[in-house]
Amino acid sequence: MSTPRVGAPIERRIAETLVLDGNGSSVAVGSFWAKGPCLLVLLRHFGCVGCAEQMTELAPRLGDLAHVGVRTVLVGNGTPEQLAAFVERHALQGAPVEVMTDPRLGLYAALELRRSAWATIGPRALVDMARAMTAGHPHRPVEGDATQQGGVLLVDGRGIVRFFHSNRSLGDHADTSDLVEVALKLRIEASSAAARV
Amino acid sequence: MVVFIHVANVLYLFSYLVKDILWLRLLTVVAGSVLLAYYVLLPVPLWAAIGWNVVFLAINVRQIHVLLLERRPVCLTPDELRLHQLAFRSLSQREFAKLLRLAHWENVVADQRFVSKGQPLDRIMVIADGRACVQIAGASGVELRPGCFVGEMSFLTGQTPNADVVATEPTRLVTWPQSELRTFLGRDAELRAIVQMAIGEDLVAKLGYSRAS
Repeated sequence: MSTPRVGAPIERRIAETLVLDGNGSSVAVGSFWAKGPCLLVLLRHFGCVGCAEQMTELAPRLGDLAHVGVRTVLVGNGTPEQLAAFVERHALQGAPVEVMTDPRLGLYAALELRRSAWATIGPRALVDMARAMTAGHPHRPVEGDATQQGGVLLVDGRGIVRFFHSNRSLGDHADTSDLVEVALKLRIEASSAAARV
Repeated sequence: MVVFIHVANVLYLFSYLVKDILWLRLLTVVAGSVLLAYYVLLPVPLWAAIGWNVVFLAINVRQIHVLLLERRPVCLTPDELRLHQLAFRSLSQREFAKLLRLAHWENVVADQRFVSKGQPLDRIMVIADGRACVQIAGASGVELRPGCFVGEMSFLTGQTPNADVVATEPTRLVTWPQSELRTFLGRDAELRAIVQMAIGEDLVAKLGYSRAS
C-alpha cells in the first residue's frame, strides 16, 4: 500500500472503495472517473471550520471545473443527514458537484490520509482555525471523525493520478487555482488533435 | 502640558471608533504627533518614548501613502478600456491596471507569423485589435479575433506550440512574459483565479471550435 503517485495509475483497491451517496446507497469510487476526469475532495468532516474555508474558495470555481469537463465529488465522513445539512449550508443544490460520505473512513484509509489529534488541535491547527474563524466561518460541532484530515485527488479518465494532496492539518488544503490549472491542462491534453498554441 | 495627553487620547479614542483604516491611521498619526510634542516639551525629554513614537509615525505615514495610492481613481486609455471589455471583464479596473503594468503592446503586420510551431514561446498574448489565424501545416484553422488569447496553452502546459499563428491583417497585441506573469499571479490568489477563468473560457471556446471544425 502506498499513497497515490502523480502520473501513476490509481490502485484498484482505491477504485473499488465504496462511499455512500445522499440516499445511503454505496458507490464505487472508480465509477467517478469512468467517463472523464474527476476531482475528489475529501473533507475532514462536514462541520470542519477549515473545510468551510476550503468550500468558500472552491464553490466559485466549481463552474470552471465543470466547464473544462472535470467532475467534482466532495466526500465527508458524517451521516447522510449531516451530508444533507452540509449541502444546504453551502448552497450546493444545483451546483456542478456531488457530495458523498464515507463514515467508515475506507477511502481516507486507502489514500493514507492523516488521522491525527495533533493535526486537529496542534499549534498549526489552532492558527488555521483562528484564521478561518476571523474570515467569518463559524466553528461547528464535529460532524464525522474529529481527528481525520482531508485531502484532494484528481484522476483523469484513464485512471491516472494527476494531482494528489494530503492535508497536514485542519486548515491545510490544496490551492484551488492549482486544481483548476491541472484541469485546464487535462482539457488541452484531451484535445490532442487540436492546434495547441 | 497635561492637555497634550488628553488631546492625544481623545484622538486615539476617535481612531478606535472609526471603521475606515485610512481614517484610523490619520487620527493615529495626529494623536501620535501630539503625544510626541508632549514628550519633547517635558523638562527632561523622554527619548525612549520619542523614539518609539517616531517609528510608529513613520510606519503609519508609509501605510497612509500606500492606501492613498490604492484609492486613486484608475485611468485607463481607450485601448486599455477596450482590452478590459474584450478579455478581462471579470477583473476590476484596478486589478486590470496592475496586470497591464507587466504588459507590452506590439504591432504585427499582415501575414507576419508571430508564433512558430515547435519554437518555445516565452510570452502569452491577447489580440487587442486585428485578426490572426492558427495554421497547422499551412492550413488555416481557428480565427483569432480581438480578445482572444494566444500562447495560453503553452503557458499552462509548458509545451511548445504545435501550430503557427499568423496575422491576417495589421494586428495589435498585448503580451506578458510568461515567467513574470506566473510570478505576479502567484502573489495574488484572487487575480490568479480571475485570469485563470478568462483563459479557461477562451480555451474551451477554441478547443470546442477545433473539435467542431
